Formats: sequence, structure tokens, C-alpha cells
Amino acid sequence: MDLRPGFEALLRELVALGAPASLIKQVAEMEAPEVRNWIETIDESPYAVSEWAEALIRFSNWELNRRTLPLKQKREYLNCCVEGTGGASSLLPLTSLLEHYLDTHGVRD
Amino acid sequence: MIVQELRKRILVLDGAMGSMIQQYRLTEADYRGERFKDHPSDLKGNNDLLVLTRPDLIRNIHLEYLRAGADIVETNTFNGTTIAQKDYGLESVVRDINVAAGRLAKEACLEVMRESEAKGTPRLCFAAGAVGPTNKTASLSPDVNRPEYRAVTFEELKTAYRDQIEGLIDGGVDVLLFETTFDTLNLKAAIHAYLDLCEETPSRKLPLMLSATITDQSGRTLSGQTIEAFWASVAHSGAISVGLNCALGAKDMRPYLQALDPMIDCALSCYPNAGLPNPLAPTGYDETPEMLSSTLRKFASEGLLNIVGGCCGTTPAHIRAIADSVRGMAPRPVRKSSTDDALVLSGLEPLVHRVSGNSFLNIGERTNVMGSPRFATLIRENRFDEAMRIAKQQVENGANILDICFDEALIDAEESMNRFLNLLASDPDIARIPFMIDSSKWSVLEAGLRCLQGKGIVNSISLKEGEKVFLDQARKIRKYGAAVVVMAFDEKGQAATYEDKVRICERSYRLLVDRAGFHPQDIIFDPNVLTVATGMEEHDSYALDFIRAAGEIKSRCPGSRVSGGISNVSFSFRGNNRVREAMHSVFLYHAIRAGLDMGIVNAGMITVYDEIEPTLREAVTDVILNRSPEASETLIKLAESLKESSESGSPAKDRNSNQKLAWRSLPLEKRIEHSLVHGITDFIDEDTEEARIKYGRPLSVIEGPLMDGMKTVGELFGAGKMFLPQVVKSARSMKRAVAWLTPFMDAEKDSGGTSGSGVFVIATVKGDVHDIGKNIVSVVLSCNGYRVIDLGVMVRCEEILKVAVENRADFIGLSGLITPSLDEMIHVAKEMSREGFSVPLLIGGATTSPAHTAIKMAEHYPAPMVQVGDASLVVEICTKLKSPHLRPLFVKELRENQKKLKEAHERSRKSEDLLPLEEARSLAGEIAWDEHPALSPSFIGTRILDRLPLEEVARYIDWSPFFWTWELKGKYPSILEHPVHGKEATALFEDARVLLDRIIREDRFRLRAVYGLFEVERQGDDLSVVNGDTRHSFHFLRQQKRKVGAPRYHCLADFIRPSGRDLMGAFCVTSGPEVEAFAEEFKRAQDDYSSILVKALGDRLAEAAAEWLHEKARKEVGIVETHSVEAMINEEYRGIRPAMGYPACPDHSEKTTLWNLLGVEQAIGVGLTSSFAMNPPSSVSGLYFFHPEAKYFNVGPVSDSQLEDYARRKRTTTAEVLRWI
Repeated sequence: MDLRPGFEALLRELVALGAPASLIKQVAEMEAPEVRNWIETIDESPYAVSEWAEALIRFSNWELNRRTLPLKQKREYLNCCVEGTGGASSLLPLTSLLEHYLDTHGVRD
Repeated sequence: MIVQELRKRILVLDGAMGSMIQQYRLTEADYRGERFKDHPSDLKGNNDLLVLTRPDLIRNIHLEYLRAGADIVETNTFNGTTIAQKDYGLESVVRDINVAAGRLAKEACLEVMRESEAKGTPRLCFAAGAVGPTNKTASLSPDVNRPEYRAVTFEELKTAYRDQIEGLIDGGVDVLLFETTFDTLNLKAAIHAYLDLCEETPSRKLPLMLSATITDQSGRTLSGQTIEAFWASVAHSGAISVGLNCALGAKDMRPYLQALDPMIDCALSCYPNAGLPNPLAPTGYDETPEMLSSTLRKFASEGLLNIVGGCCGTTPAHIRAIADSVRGMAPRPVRKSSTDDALVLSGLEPLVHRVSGNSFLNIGERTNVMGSPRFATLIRENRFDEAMRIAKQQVENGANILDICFDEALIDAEESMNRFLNLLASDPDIARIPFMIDSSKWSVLEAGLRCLQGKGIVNSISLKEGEKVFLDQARKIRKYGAAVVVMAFDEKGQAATYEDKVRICERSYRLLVDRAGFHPQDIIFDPNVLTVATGMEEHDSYALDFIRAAGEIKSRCPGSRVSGGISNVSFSFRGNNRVREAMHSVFLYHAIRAGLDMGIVNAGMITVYDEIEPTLREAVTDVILNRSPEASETLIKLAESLKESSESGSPAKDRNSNQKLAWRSLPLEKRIEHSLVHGITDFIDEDTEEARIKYGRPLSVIEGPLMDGMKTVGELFGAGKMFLPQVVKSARSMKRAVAWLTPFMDAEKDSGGTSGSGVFVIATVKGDVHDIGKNIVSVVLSCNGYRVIDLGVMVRCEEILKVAVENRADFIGLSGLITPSLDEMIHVAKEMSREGFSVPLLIGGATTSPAHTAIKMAEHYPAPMVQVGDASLVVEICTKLKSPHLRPLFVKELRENQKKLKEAHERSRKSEDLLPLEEARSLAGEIAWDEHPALSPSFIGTRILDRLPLEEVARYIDWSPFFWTWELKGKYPSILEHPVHGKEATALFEDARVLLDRIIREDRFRLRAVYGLFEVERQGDDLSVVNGDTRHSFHFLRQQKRKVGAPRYHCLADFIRPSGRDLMGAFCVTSGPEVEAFAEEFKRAQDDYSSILVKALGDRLAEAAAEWLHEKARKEVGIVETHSVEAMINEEYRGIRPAMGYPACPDHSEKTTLWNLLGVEQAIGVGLTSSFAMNPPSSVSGLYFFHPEAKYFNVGPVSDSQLEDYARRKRTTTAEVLRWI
């Protein structure tokens, strides 16, 4: 799989949505296997890459004044949000879904 | 040699073997090698086998550790017993494994020693023969309904350990290491095997190291012992070291190392895990080499270490860091034990008796058939449960040790001893104290010794049959690690006089210490308490002789103890308890001063010495000390005058009857609360009855103390101090109490139940049969004072509304698992609106969500409609909705949130970027059809399996979802070690395993399956399956959401060859209606907890059966694979088995085609409800796609045009399609 289009699309969305520089840097420095894994996850989810980017930014905002999580853990958390709601997930934007999960379950240390 | 090295320095042990092996990512073929290539079962994961099939790899791991600085490497034989290898059917190669493992470790040691010699830095390396705990426990029952049952016996363990030890020695190891002990009785069997071998062939004796595992922060082994009790149980082993390994990280081990340090007279070892489990860490554990070695260095600086190393999660890097950190540091000095001058016994807890402490040990005698007629009757009548209560009373009455005897002609003493001791072991309140095994038959004594994980006492042996028998028995007792009571009895008979008592005891002492190797502190003499005041003059000095002898024996036999059966002294006054109590007290008063250390005493038959009426006390003292020739006559006359009052009951007796469990002495309401919080049902009937009388009306009891108790449960649950399984157990106690009151309420023509917090009508909606979540919510609500009217499953809307009106419901709750149930919920909401309901409507179930409730449902009902995502939230929601103060704000926020969600959904719909259907079809991607030749199925058509092998299928259970059912988040098995709810998860898992064993043993479920292999033709996004003369069409949807990676837009039909005929399969499995029937048995017994457990297991077994059947089907189409069960659970195999109603095929109505194709209902009795839910609910169905590129995917959002196209292909309407996806 050519990772470039997907990866560029993700970075483009992050930049367009005003992601903090630190987040963009984290994404840009991801290793190829991680990128592949993430792109596959995005594609197999009901959510567009723009929604993933938006949710990731929302996650980063939520982290302010809290412990900062590694990017990998944030991705996995978002994936859990998607998988945890099964078929009903497509009803709601990923950011709303993320907010619901953060409010209800938080993030365990 | 290792002993000398231990004096000089801290020795370093190696690290984890399993994690190292894991890094090699071995295949089934690696495990099998040439030798086991045709072995009938999977071998992957049998790490011990690698010493035979991949010796190169094991040797390398040893070398890595040795080169990292380990002085000792453990053989790869943790599971090298016949018991552990039985799982793989490899009992016959156990010896080969151990010999080979010993050789590999030893050769690696020699190689590194040669290397270091060549470098001019010679060093010593040692191979330690690792002996694991096996996978069975000798002191715990795996069956909660049969606590006396054991999955393995002491003798079986001993035999298995003997085989392993001999193999390791033959392999050339330098030392033996019995490690990871979670059940001390298992370890005692291993020690026994070791001591047998040392005795039979002293030349083969090797130094022994021991290591226990403290399982969690409770500070106990899995079998419940404290570390001090553990050491007391195994100190007889003669080990050169003892310590801790596994389960905990180094920091958590500190208190237990500190506890062991003063007690032991050998080296101290510590090889912890690399911190706590952390799935994200490369090793699975969270401590780096630096972190671990830093902690261990501190231990060394505190003088706590002689041997140090690593267990799970540690690597050569950890061992190198540890070796570097302790290099040059002084080893802990090996000292005399701080309990060297004490008699140390143990149950689950230690009992340390020091002579200087002047404390008298009270040995409970009521569990002796000769001391208690009631106990004897209970045993004869096989009423062991009631006999257990006597034991418990003894402990509660203050017994320090429990004497247990079954010597009676009508009782099978061996069998009874075994059964009773196993039962006692199941009750930690009793098992905390040491037991005294009492019998005149050696076989009974030995039967008892084989059941004791603690250090108990044998009562008794004597010289009656001569020195040889005496010494033989004494040596055997030593191997079991018990103390011994020696009766003052020799070849000539029982010692009655002072002189004979002292002579026989001294002779016995010398034999035991000098020839049998007994520690003097473990010797307890019983110089025979004989009956006085019999009317025979020669008996008059019996008590005095005993008292005098006690002092003399202790003087001549230093370190020993003196005991006696106290009630014997007063037998001549049987029936006159007042006199007997006085005699016991006076006798003890004088004997203890003379040196008596312990006695078999009925604590209820002693009175306070100073409270004995002075005339009686004087008369009794005259008899005991033989102060006057008329003493007996005087006491007999006095006794007659006291008899009447004595018969009316003694103070001691009254005391006894009042002494129960500590919490039983609490006020009634607190006792009820205790039973509810702890889920105890033993006393709930009697307390409820007491409350009924006290409160006058049964309803007052429910609304008073019972509800108060359940409120406490609710508060604890809400505060996260109790977990769901515990709450459900509490509900079981509550139900028992309500059941007790129900007849009284019926008599009052009361409606039953309580409505303290409100009436809640709950149901699984029409068309759905799933109710586990609903049942849990019901229990939680009941615990919080709600009167719950549970209408069950598949409940029609009219029924729900009718019952709600009749009972003036405060809330209605709807539950459903499958997506079509959402429509039924909307229907109920609309009907409620139409009929003018205004009560809150609560929505729950796996497919419900706040989003769906907000977007699709809330608009249909004007009153509050709340989605409850978690059973733990329901009470808070109801409380807010009921409270006049909290409700306005809660409802306002609810509405605002629902509005926000709806708006967000609208935005989301607008932003959906979907490919046109035709473009998505054109980007389906190419499947490499030619690379995988057509399969050759062994049959075409349908097959029915009427009874799947339950036990075999159970191996395929994926346990993670089981815990999710109970709202315990995490993945199995790491969830068992979860820092917050690991303990509760473990308890739940144990309960589930016990129940599962019972289901298997009693053949409770009949797993059935129907499946078929068929020719199939692809027609666009549909499949046409050929079955004889008929064809069945399956319809599928295609992904349309625009992708950014590989542009492939999947549809299940893509996995079938585009032209010509291909092969596919279909299946349905069920755990059968037996699941519901069995669950109902528990429900009828007011045991919701077990009822929910049964259903959860039914679901797990159905999923496991689907996995099992899929494997079978793959074999039958000719797919060759060698996956482990774990790999299969993780779906690491060729092909998929998607189910209708799930993301790859979201349309539930497609099940109809499947049912027609296989004739499911006729074949195995699984029907479809009006919403296409399978009934019985514990059922799984789906299709088989066999191509290697077949994969699971989520169809995701689709365009209206695809919906129209799909509806056209299905010959239905888009509205109907939308209803079922």
C-alpha cells in the first residue's frame, strides 16, 4: 500500500484544522508501520480522515492541564471509541463520540 | 559448592524464560520438531518441550543470561511434571524433558565457566533444576459446590514431583529450585518427594531452594497463607534458601522479605517480576532494567538479599543491570531463626509458641468424636456441613488449635479425616489456625497429614509397638513437616505414675532428637491425664502425678512441650458440669504453673478459677492435689448437692451459647447489613425472622433494615468499593430474605416487594431475547430500594404499558441487544406518547447509544428519555429524575445534550464523503484467485451435530467478553491482574470456572450445530448458493466511505470467485434451551448471581462452539493449519465467518435466507424472532468465506442510491431495508 496519499491527507487535515505544532510533529515523526496501521484503521472505520484529525485535535485539547498521552495511546483510544459503539457509531461525529467516552470513562493511568 | 558461594556474595539468578522464548515467535512446527510431528494435539506453547525440539534455542537463552551476569540459570522445566504435561498428552516424555533440560543448563554453565577461565576471570555457574507448582492445587477445590473435592491428591503430586526431580538430577543440575509456590500443600508434596529421595539415595542429594509467590497485595499465597505461615509449613525441608518470586514487582515484595528475614535460618532470595503487567511495554511489564535493579540494590544495601534475579518480564538486560548493581555488595548474613526456641505451627496464619511467653494453648476438642457425642452423630449421619459449624464455634470460642478425631467403629476414619480437613480448608475463618490430627491408627494420621498445607500436629505416636515403629512413624511425620504429640506409653503400657511418665517421655525424646532428627520444639509430650475421684485409692494421685511430671519432663527434655486431654480428669463426674468445670479450671491452674503448655479443652467447660464458689474450689483442689484421703468422698458428696443446679445450666454453658461469630453479636440491623454487604446467606433467614417479629410487619422489615442494608451496598457500589459481581451476590442474600417474608406478606394480602425508592418496570422488547444486561440492571436497582417488576424477554409493548399502569410505575426501562430492537423501542416510545405517559423512559442494551437515543428516539416521547450505558449509572439517573430538586437541572442538561448530538449528527451527515456506488464497485480490488487453487471439500450439503464435545469446546472460550458482561473492563488474562478490579475479576473467573466445570461434568448444556458447504455463484454484490435443486440468494452491501489508503471498497461478495462456481459455507450453533433452564434453577433459588453467570457462560460456549465448528469446517474443505487455540480465538486463521447483523453484513433479515438454506430450526431448534433475534439466545450463526484474502470489515455509511439498489435486489423497499440494518 502506498502510504503517502493517506498520510498526506491526514497531515493536511491537521494543518487545516489548526492542530498544535507539537501534535503535527508527533504525527509527522510516526514510523511507517504505525502510519500503515493507522491509515488502515481510518479506512475501515465509518469516519473520514478529516473526522479523525478533528478528533485527535480535540483529544489534544482535552489533555491541556492533564497528563499528556503518547500519540499511539490516543489513536488506540479513538479506535476503541469507534469499535465500542459498533454499528451505531456512524450516527455521531467522532469528536462527539470521543467527548462522550472521555466524560464517561476518562483515561486510565 | 553453592552454599560456600552464598556465604561470600550475593548470587544472581537468571530472568524470565517464557518472554525470551516468545521473542523467537516460534511456530507449531518448532514445538513439534521431528519427534512430535504427528502428535495428535497442538503443542505450541508447551515451552518445556523445546528442550527436546529446539535445544539450540534454550541453550542460547541460558548463555545469554549467564553472559549477562547470572550465576544460576534455571532449567526450562517449569511445567515438567506429568501433571502439567497431561494437558498436552505428553506425560510419557517428562523424564526426557527434565534430563535434557538439566543437561542444557549444565552445559551452558560449563561453557561460560570455560570462557571466563580462558579470559583469566574464572567464575562459578550453577544449573538449578526448576520445579514449578503444576497447574493443580491440592488445598483448594475447583468446584465451589464440592469444597471437599480436590483435583489432585498429595500422593499424585508427590509421584509427579519425584519423576521430575530424578530427571533433573540425572540431567546434571547442581541445585533444585521449587518455585512459584501458590499452594503450600503442593510444595509440601514436592518436599516429601525430595526427602524420600534423599533418604533412599543420600548420594544423589542436592541442595534445595524454595520460592513462594504472594499473589497480590493481600500478602498471601493463592491458597491463603501468610508468608510466615508458609515458612512454618516448609521449614522442615532443610532448604538452603527461601524467598519470593513472581506476581509482584520488587517494591511490593519488600514487606514480605522483611517478614521472612528474621524467621529463616537460611539464605533469602528475591526474583520479582519486572514491575506490573503493562501490555504496551515490549516485555509486557513496566519496569526497565534500571528501575528494577535500583530497587533490588536498595534491598541488598538493607541486608535483605542472598540471591537475586528476575521473573516474568525480565530479560538479559534486566539481569545484567541487577548483577552490576549488587556486585561487590555484602550478602545478607545467615543467622539463627528468631523462632528457633519456639514451637511454630501454622494454618493460614502462623502460631508461634514460646516457653518464655508463658501462654497456654487451648486445643479445641469438640471436633473429636470421642470428645463430642454430637459431633460423632453428625459424622455418622454424614452431616458434615453441621459438623463444620462445630469447628467454627471452637475457633470463635478461642481455640488456638483444633483437635480432629474420627476414631469410632462406625465411622470410616480415613475417609472422614480427608473429607473433613478438606472442608475445613475451604473456610478461612477456621483454616487460619493449625490442626491437630488425632487418631490411634497410623493410616488415618497419614491421611490427615496429606491434607494439611499448614504445619499441624500429629496426635499421637508412642513406644507402644517398640522403637522401630516409633522411629519409622516419627521420620515420616518429619517429612510431612508436622509437630508430634508423644503419648507416655511404652511396650509395657500406659504411664500412670510420675516416674513412668518421666521415664518414657525422656526415652522418647532421645530417640526423636538423636535418631529421627526431630527439632526439640516440635515435640509435645502427653503424659496422660487420668481420671481422679473414682473411688479407687490408687487413682487419687493421678492428677498430681501429671502436674509434677509436666515440670520434670520439660526440665529433662529441653525445648519440648507438654499437653494433655484435660476433660479426662473429671470423667467420674460426668453429668455434673458445674463440678467438672471447676475440676478443669483447678487442674489447669496448677498444671500450667508446673509447665503444661497446651491442653485439649472444651472452652465451654472451663470456668474462671477465681469465680469458683470457694467451698467447691477447695474440695476440688483437695482432689486434684491429693491433699487428703477423704478428698474424693467429700467432693462426691458436695457434687450431689450441686447436681440439681448444675443440670439447670452452667454459666459456662450460657457463655458458650452466646459466643458466636463476632459480627453475630452486633445489633440485629447491623447483622442484616453485614449479611447483605458480604452476600452471606447462612443467617439471613433467622435474622429476617427476628426482624419480622421485632418490626411487626414483613413490609416494615423490607423497608427498614433490609433496604438500609441494601442502601449501604448501593453506596459502596457507587463509591467503587464494591464491584458488580459482589453486588449481585448481595442481591442473592436480599432475595433470600424477601423470600422468607413473602408468605407472611401474602398472608397480609400485600403486593410483595418494596417500593421504597420507586417502581421500575423493565423488559427486553418484543423480538429480542437477550437479558443478561437487563437482569444486572434489575439487581442493581433492587439493591437500591426499587421495586423492580421484570417482565422478562420478548415483551409486547401493550404488556409493558399495561403493567406500568397497574403498578403505577415511576420508570419504564427497555432493553435490547440487536439493532432491530431499536425500532421496537421507538414503537414503545410512540405508544407511551400516544397514551399520555409521563414517566421517564430508560433505554439500555448493547446497540443503544446516547446518539441513537438523541437522534432517533427522543423526539417520539415528550417525557425524559435517557440512555443508560452502564448498569452502575442507573441508580444515579433514577435518583436525579425522582428528586424535585435535581430533576429540573438534569432534564435541562439531558435535553441540551440530546439537541447537541442531533445537530452534530446533521453536520456529520452533510460532511459524509461517499463514493458513487459504481465507482466503489470498480474499486473492489483484485483477489489473487489463481494463487489459491480451488478447495476440495469432503462433502457438499448440510450436516447436523447433535451434541458437540462440551469440554473440548470450552477450550475455545474467549474470556474477555465474559468480563465485559460484568462491566469489568480489560482483556483476559491480564484483567485478572488489573490494579483496580483484578481481584474481583479473579473471584468472578473462579466462580465461572467452577460453574463451567459443573456444566461440563453434569453435561448441563447440549451444544448443537448445523452447518453446510455449498457451491456458490457470484452475481454482482449478491451470492447465489446452490443446494440441490434450490438456490438461495444472499445480498450484501458495499463500503462507500472515501478511503485515503488502499482504495479498496469491500463487499462480502468480493470474496467469492467472480465467475464460475466457488465454495462457501453457512452455520448455526447453539448452547441450547438448557442454558435458560439451568439459569432458571438458580433464579428460582433466589440466586441471580449464578443465574446470570450461567447465561454468560451459555453465550461464551456458543461463541466457542462457533470457533470450534469453523476449525472443523476449514479442515473439511482441505485447509491445513496448525494454530493454537489462542491463535484461533484471535482469528489468526484463513477465512472468515461473518454474522448477519454485524458490520460486514449489517442486515439482520438475511438470516432468513440462512435459516432456509440450512433448515436451522428443524435441525437444531433455533428459531428467529420477529426481529430476527436467534432463540435460544445463546446461539451464533453466519457464513463461511474460505479465501485467504477474505477479511472482516465495516460496511459503514452507504448512499441512498445503494440502499435503493439493495432494496431492488432484495425485492423489498428501502424503508424495510433501513429497519433491519
